Amino acid sequence: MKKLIVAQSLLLALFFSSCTNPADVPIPVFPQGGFLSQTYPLSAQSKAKLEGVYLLESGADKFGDRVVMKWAGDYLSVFTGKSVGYFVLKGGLLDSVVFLEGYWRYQNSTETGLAQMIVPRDEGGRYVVGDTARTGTLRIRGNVGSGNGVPDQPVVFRYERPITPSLLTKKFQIIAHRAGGRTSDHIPASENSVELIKITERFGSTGIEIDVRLTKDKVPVLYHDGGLNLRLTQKGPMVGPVEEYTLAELKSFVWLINGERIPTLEEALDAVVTQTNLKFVWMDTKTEQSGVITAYVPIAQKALQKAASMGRDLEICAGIPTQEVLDEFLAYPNYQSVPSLCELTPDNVRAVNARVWGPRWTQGTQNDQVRAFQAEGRRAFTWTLDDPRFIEQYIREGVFDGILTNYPMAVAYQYYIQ
Amino acid sequence: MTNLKPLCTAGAVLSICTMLILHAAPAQTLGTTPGTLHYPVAIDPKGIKTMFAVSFSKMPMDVVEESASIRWPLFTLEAHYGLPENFILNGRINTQIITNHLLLGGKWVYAPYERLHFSVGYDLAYWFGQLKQYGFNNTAHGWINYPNLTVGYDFGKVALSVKGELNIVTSHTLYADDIEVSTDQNFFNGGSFTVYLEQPLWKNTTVSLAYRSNFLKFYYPEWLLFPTINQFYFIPELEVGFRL
Amino acid sequence: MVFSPIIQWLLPTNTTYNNMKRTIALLAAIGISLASVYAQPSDSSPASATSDTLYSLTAYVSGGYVHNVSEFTISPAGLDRGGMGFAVRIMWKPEHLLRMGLETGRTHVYSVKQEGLQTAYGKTDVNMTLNATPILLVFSMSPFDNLDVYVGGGSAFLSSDAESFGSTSATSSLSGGAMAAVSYMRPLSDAWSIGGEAKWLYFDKYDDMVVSLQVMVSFRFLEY
Repeated sequence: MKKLIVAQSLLLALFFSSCTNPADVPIPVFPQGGFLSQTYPLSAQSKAKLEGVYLLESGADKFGDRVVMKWAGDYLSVFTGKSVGYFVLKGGLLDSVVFLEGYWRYQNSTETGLAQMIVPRDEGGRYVVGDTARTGTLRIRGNVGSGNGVPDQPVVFRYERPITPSLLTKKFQIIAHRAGGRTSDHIPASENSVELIKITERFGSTGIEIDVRLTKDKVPVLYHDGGLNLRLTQKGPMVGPVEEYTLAELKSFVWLINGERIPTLEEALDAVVTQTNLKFVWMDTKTEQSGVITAYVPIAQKALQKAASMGRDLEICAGIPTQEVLDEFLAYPNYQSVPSLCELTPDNVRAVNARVWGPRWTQGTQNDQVRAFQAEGRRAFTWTLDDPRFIEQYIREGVFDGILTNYPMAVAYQYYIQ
Repeated sequence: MTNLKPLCTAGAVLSICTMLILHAAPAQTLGTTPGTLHYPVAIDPKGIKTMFAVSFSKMPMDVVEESASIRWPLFTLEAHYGLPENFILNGRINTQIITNHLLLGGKWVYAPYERLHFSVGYDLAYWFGQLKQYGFNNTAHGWINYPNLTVGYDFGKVALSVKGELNIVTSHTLYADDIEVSTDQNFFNGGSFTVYLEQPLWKNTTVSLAYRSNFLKFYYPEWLLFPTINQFYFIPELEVGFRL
Repeated sequence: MVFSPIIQWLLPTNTTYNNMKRTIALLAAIGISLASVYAQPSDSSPASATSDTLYSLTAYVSGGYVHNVSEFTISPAGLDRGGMGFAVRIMWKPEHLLRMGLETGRTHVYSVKQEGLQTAYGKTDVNMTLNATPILLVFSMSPFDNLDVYVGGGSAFLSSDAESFGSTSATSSLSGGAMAAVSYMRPLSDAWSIGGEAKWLYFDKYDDMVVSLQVMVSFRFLEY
């Protein structure tokens, strides 16, 4: 009996230790919509006054010395220099006080929490909501919390200066990988989904990279991996390569990991044109079948025409990551006029008349080569750069025209803080 | 998101099976321990015990993405050298060809009862990896500390040991295309629990069957894959070892 | 500081899932404790060595009902978790308690059959099947007379067939596999035994688990 008790104790120790719950990072929400439900919307003029670089008078241990605040539609994004931290806030006004509510998160871990702030009437509130000039200091005061807990840790932001105007006019692209990040980043929507496309600007993205494959009936869809798997989809009845199934089968029997459906390229580009202000789409070709270029170029051209008719400033480039795709691209009629982004050698870039060269970031800043392409009217985007130290280095010392990243909030911070 | 429920069920099933299996080990005079390696028992001074083992790990899909989650095996050669006063010097080489892990440490065995033994130990390891083929140009290296505690029970013909160890990284550097892409120092990387069942298989050859639960931010055998995420991952491992 | 995260990591979490885990563990512990009160330790098992130096090879063939116990996030209409499976196992039995062997076989994992399913893309009949062929290294011991406990791990080939919207597809992939089983065998003769086995199989590629009740026949075909 004694030996059994010993054995059971040892094995129960193993069993209790053998599992952890998966780290899920749901977006914290205020109950009943928080205080914002009782406020009035902010005007575009008021929003513009809040954008800028702020010093942290309180909360620097959590968010660093400075942050950048920038609007993406109705959402105020706050980009910090610590732990790839950021806020996504919505704003409202009541009686000359600006209210900001939302959440904060460290994108490279699972820490997140609610955030609740105000711009007090006498510390910039009147200035933000009215026509008066700013007198005194603009401060944003509030609290942050942990998870859905009540925010109780003070943070105070003091306005320092506006974002350098040339940074806003220069067409530097912050391109979100897989439309906004990876499943392992615990993003609030699935990779390569329309739902993620709609919210990616809140993370600082000005462009997206999407992964395009062909279904069995030659319809281009967005999906990164080679097969239907539990990383990207919920467990369902269908397994195996995406290319084995028709669009009807994928749409009927497959759900992405957060419950969305696999989008067609047409649906995705339509969302980009009509529901975002994104400026750049990088269509990465991810298929072992031939015919991808032929399938997706007309769809991209149709989206560009729609964007032009709406006055949208948008570029959609066909990605050329491998020699096989390059060969197929060169066989496409009038390929020289098809906007493309070539990841291969400089000679390949010129051969296809690519608009953009896309070298891997580990090949260095390559300033001479980048400048040579810029002199030819081309651009250079590097990929996939996630380490904040290298993001800072490449922005300060490099001359790239854009960075593809899983952490657009980190790139946004380093870029707009200049 | 990795579904851990099947893995947890596997852990439960293994635990229950092991409990059943232990009924096959009736109380007998001690016979197992000379052949064991992991069971905490003192070795005669200048005595040596060695073992060869193979282990397979299951990586989280978030880390491996499209690659196979059951990875290439890790081969282990381990030796224990007896010192006076119940001390043991232990060394280990783990290799996966592109990754190598060299460990040296010591432990002290405490045997308060005839069949129930403990050991407390500290290991230090240097690991390095290199892949310069198939389009890769990546290298990495680091130092890891493993303070550990083992408790074991000798059933007579089967020895059951449970080892808990912490994983503390004192340095960790990754290079890609000659750029130092990542360097970290002095961080708590998690820990592991391992259950060893050791018993003779044929003649005097002892076999060790082990199940290891790793909870780590960074798992050195898969250094090529690890993303820039600051969270713990559950990585189960199965190991089969043979005494040499 | 190093110790702060260590302490946080060691603290138990308080979730429904952990509570379920602990309950199962306690029930298992109670069950094993009760079993041990009434169990007789085993000195030998059926078809085992007749002398301390005798080795043997025994073949086991089993077949029976298989039931999928996986959690489907999307449980499709027409999901059929039941099916048939069979296995072949060769076990080497040396002079000690532990046995080692190889196992393969074929098992139904799940199927989906639905006629006239209405979808946004029209009406369709659906027919999908997933089968597995495991190849496992297996270890066993015998805690009680005639009772063997097996654990094993290795690979499995998963093959699927799907037909819907007028399209058919067949795919195959390699997965990791694991098994645990308990069998009870009654000797019919020196070499032959018959009995049954309860088995659990896991295929990691799509997180599939099946449990199975099978009739088993064994034949000791070599002794040396």
